[in-house]
Amino acid sequence: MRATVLLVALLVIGGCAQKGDESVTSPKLEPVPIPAEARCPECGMFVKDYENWACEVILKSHEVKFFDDPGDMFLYYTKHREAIAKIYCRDYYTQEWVDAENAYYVTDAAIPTPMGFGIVVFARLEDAESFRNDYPSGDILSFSELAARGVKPR
Amino acid sequence: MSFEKHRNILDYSVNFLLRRKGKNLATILVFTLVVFMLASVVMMMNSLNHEARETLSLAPDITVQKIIAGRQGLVPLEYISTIQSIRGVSRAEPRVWGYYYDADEDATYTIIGVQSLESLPLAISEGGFSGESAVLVGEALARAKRLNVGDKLLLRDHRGEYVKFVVAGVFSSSSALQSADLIVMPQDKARDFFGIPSGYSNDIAVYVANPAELPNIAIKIAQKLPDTRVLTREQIRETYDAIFGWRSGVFLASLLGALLAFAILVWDRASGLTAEEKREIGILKALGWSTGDVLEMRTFEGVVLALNSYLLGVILAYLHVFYLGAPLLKPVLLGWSTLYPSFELMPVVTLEDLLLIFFISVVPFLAAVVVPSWRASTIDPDEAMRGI
Repeated sequence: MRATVLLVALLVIGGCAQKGDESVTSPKLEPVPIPAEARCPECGMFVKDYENWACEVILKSHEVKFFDDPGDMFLYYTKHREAIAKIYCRDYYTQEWVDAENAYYVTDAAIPTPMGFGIVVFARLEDAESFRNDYPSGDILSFSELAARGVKPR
Repeated sequence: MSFEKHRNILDYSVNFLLRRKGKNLATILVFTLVVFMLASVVMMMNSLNHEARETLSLAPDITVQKIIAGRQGLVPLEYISTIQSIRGVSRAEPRVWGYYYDADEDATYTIIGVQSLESLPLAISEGGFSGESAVLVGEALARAKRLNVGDKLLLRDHRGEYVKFVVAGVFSSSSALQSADLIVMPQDKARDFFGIPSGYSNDIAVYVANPAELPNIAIKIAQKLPDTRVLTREQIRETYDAIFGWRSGVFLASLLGALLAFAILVWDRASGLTAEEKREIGILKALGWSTGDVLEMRTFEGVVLALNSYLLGVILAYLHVFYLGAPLLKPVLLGWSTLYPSFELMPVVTLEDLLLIFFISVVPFLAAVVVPSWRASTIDPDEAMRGI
């Protein structure tokens, strides 16, 4: 009897978890609003709570993956490079979506980001340089440079 | 069959209550008064907090004031380009505003000069914003001065001359605290009205896209413009909280007296039943009532008293706070109430508040009624009847 109850409870909990994983698609490969229940596939955190750090990866199947830290996006990128069509990140200063592959990345372990990767995204090089002045030990990298170097949480 | 029994017990408890009308009425009176005072304070604080939060949500991310010799002065507009050059700032706007004392109404209004209406996120119930001498007025102000859209409004400027304005619109009352006493006019007009030299403003509103960058930007502004005071919205919120916290603390402290009186009342009931009540329980038990029946009777009695007082107290508090404008509390809690022509509190009542009041009044009272009866009903009926 007790085992049955437990089984039912597990199924219900499982059902709830499933609900949060409903996939979002972007037919035109454009950024989409972040759903409240979207979780980061790398760390499992709710992305909506860290909207100003968010990244979106749009797969070739038009499915959208949401990330709460640019570092998580890079981890995902290194694993699923072939399946990815387009990547967007939020510009740190303007909070607008930028094409991640043409963006500039300031990295410094001292920068507090949601998952501690210490990576901040900018659309313009001048903005990145200005931000680097606040973190003098940081580097400015392009997408490919950062992907080649690899990311790790603090 | 068993329902019939419960009905009879309820019937008996109601009769029991009616037999001691005077005593029970006194209990209800004290109880209601305590609930009324508690609920009034809680409702008023909640409403004020709600309004303050609402006001704060309209405040800019960062407010920059100029400080001259430790006092607030006018900010030169050149500061705006300096602030805008800081990366991460999405917008910096001059703000022109001030207070205006209206001797006729014995009230103080807030005059705000805006560059465009979009920068003022307040709902307008009627009219628009057009023309040189057009003004928008708050709903309470319009009511006090009997103004309608299209009417003229005469105000004395800093030279002492009357300036004629035309009321182009009225703010809706949904945001009373923000707009009750407000007069909104074009910014240049407001500058001229107050005698603020062109090229200056009262303060600068700064908007930042990324909240994570806000503290850094505040630091950068303070470094670039050392003669300014930089206030973030977070700092203003903390000040609000401190003021409200202090005021409600003072009032709750003075309410301790009332709570103490209530505690004595409860203690009086809890410390034992009167001999008469004990005898009654003894007789009931001799007649065949079980301990459970006696307890049920006493619980019914307590519930009737407590719920009536609770409901009466909460309803009276609601009327007192939201219909009468809390005349008993206002002088203590609102420092600025005298400034407003008419100030109504927005009715905000949360379930938590009602439960809070319930648990500090009804629950101890029920315990005080039931526990001694339980003690009395467990003793031997013979002993109880003989004991007098």
